This record gives sequence, C-alpha cells and structure tokens, in this order.
Amino acid sequence: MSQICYKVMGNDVCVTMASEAAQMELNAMEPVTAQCDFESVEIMINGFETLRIRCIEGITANEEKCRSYVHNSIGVVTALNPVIGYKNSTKIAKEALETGKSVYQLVLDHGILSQEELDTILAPENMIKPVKLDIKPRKLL
Amino acid sequence: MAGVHIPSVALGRLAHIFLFEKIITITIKLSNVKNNCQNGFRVESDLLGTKEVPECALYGVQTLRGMENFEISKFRLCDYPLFIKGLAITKLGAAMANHEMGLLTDEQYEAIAQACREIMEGKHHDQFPVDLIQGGAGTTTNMNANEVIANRALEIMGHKRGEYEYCSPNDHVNRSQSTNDAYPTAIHIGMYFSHLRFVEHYKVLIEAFRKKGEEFKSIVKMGRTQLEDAVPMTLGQTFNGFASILADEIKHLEEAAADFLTVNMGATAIGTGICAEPGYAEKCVEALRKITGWDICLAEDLVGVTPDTSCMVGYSSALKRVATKVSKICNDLRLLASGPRCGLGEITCLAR
Repeated sequence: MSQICYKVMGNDVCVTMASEAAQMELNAMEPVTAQCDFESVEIMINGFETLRIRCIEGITANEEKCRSYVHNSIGVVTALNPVIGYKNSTKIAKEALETGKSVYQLVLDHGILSQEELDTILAPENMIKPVKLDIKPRKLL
Repeated sequence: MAGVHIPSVALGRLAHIFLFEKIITITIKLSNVKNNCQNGFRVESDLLGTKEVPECALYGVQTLRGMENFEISKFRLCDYPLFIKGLAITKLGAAMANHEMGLLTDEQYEAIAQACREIMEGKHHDQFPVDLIQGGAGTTTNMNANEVIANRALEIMGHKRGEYEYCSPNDHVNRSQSTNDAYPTAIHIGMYFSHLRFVEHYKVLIEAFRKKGEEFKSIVKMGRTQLEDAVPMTLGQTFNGFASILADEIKHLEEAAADFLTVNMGATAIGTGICAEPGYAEKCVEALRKITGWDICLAEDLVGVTPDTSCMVGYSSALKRVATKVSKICNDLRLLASGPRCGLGEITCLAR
C-alpha cells in the first residue's frame, strides 16, 4: 500500500508540472495528467481492497503484551500524576528507572495507592478521555 | 583452449535486434491486429494519404496513425473504461445539441446516439487501442472516439464501415467540437465517475478501521511520541484515529471533484467558439446534465479555462493527501505488528 501511495505522490508531481506547462491557449500536456489521475484512482482503489481484505480485517490484538508495556512503562506515571502528585510521580519514575521495577509495582510497594485504586486509574474507560476520579494518595514520599 | 566463441557477426546482429526491438515490437503488434482480422482490410484516407485499416476495426485511419506515432507506454485507452465512458457521454451530449440545432439528420443522430450508448454500457472498448500518453493534446484519443462512433453508427444505418460520406468522424461525430473542448470534458466526466467509485471503496476501508476501533476499545496500550513511551491509551483509539483522519479527507475529495463538473464544451478551438453555432454550448451542457444527472455547468470564460488543467492538479492533490495519511497508517501498522519476538508485537496480522 505504501508503494502505491508513493506512486500517487509521484503522479501528483507529474500532474503539477504538466499543468504548469500550458502555453498560450492550450495545454498540450493534458494527456499525461489524465493518465496520472486515472491511474492514481485505480491503484488506490486496488490497494484499499487489498489492504482491507488481506490486512486490516484480519488484525488481532495481543492484549497481554499491550498491558505489560503499560505496566512496565515509566510513562504510566503521567497517568497517575493527577492523583499522586508531581513529587510522588517523579520519585517513582526515578526509582523505576534505577531498579527496573515497574511503576505499577512500586506504587503498591510504597503503599501510595491500593491495587483497586491503581486499576481504576488505569482502566480503559478512565484513560481515553479527561476524567475526575475521587482517589487520594495514601501517603507522600 | 576451446571456449564459447560468439562470432562478431552474431554479436552485431544481437545489438541490431536490441536496438530495433521497439520497431520490431510495433511491427509485430500491428501485424497481429491485421492477422486477427479475418475479413481483410478497407482503405481509408486522410490528408497524409491512404492506409489499410483492418476490416474488423471500428476505428479508422487516424487512430491507426496515432497507434504508430505513440508507442510509448503500456497505458492504453481500453484499460481506462471510465475515460472511454466520459468520451461517449461527451460525444452523445454534442450529438444531442447538434441534432437539436438541425446540424445532424434524425438518422445520423439516432445512429450516433445508439453507438455512444453502447460504448457507455461497456461495449466496443477493445476498439480504443491508443496510448494514453500522446502528443497533440489528446487529438489521437478524440479521433479514436470519433472514428469508433462513426463506424458503429454507419453499421447501425446499414452502411459499410469507412463510408464516411453518410456519417463522418470529423464532420458529424465531432461536429461543433474540437479536441480542446471534447477531450477535457471527457476527462472531467470520466474523472467524476472515478471519484464516485473511489469514495465508495474508500468508505469501506474507513469502516474496516472503525470496526477494529470498536473491537479493540478495551485494550489498553502505551501511546508513543517520537517512539518513546508517552501515556496509556486504548488500541481502539488508535484504530478510530485512523478511521477519523481518513474520513476527514472525504470533504476535500468532494470539493476537488466538484471542479470536474465545470466543462468547456463549445470552446472550439481555443475557446472562441468559432466552429460552433450560437447557443450550441448551452444546449450541449444541458444535454450532458440530462445524460449524467449531475449538476454540470459551462465555464464562464472559455478562453481562460481551455488551457487550464488545475482541476486535475486539485484532484491529484486531494489524492496525495489521502496517500500521505494511508501510508502513515501503514507505517504504524508495520511498527505495531513488528516481531513476533523482537519487535513491539502489539498486534498480529493474519498470515496470508
């Protein structure tokens, strides 16, 4: 599909140059603009069908892998930041980097949040849009 | 020591064959056309002289010259059915206007109209063999259409192919037109058909992304900025995002395609309209509206628009916007599906 896209971008350059080349009362380069535009539409349609049927519709998610990245990521502290505060967040992030432990585990180990509270913050419905959660940190580091 | 010895004469011959391969190919192609024809040839003439045209061909001498002159690419008019449909509609619209103005007899008009309708339905497309890339600003394509329609009309009228005194490609099918108005108009109509087809397929692709967005709405993943960990999101958001940015392009495609509905019929030969009668252009555009059911209108300044192909640039540009996004999405899919052991591996593409 990407190769088709590159071809379409190339055709666009060709159409632009051919269109610029009109002289006086006629553009004698119009045939190549027609070839490019008709071809671009045709190969894009063929590409869309191929991409959809042979790729998109068959995609499956590796849910466990996705979740493990979230739990192991340092970036997850950004999601915890509004609840546990900047100071807690930076300390946890630093410790996670140094020890290789997960942010999720460190927050539990330090008793900042319960597992239930953590899972609430990291629940999909609470991470895809701005939400106000009634959760307070149990202690400050 | 004995080795393989290629005589220099043979080498010279190879070089000769290589150098003249193109000419040989053209000769073979033309002779194939001739050999496939069971009924021999008819002799047609134009201002350059006479030529043998295969009796089975609906095209004539000028198409044949176009085939000889422009052996350029593998893109032939017969591979672009919507372009041919645009030509047939343009010619039908012109014939309707000419008939209304008394410039074609009833018999000529009926025959030309039937020939155009047959082509619009997909018949005779093999009779459009000319190369899409050609000099002469599209005259070869225009004459290919004129000749096929004229010869088919002659058959319908009960005459032989090539008996152009009864229905001529130039005097009747191309009446009140020149390449400079008929050709761009045919491209506009053909491209509008292409656009409608494009959007139809495009929407199905967008829907496929939407479905995955719904399917993956509960799967939490990390978002990434500059390939570094950002904040969590859902895989559903990723796929919905793909669907949304693609859907945003539909309005740009529609806007660009709307320009195709302005045509320059009556702009013979440079837009002054010197080869058409007063009122013809308006009647022709009215006929095109009736045939297509689209809101086609006549350009205000025919001299100005005739050399202007900016709507081709506009649509190409709209396609480029789509291509840029689709390719970005494909790159993301490649990253997300990388692995299985050493990559991101957040998604898996079905083995095909």
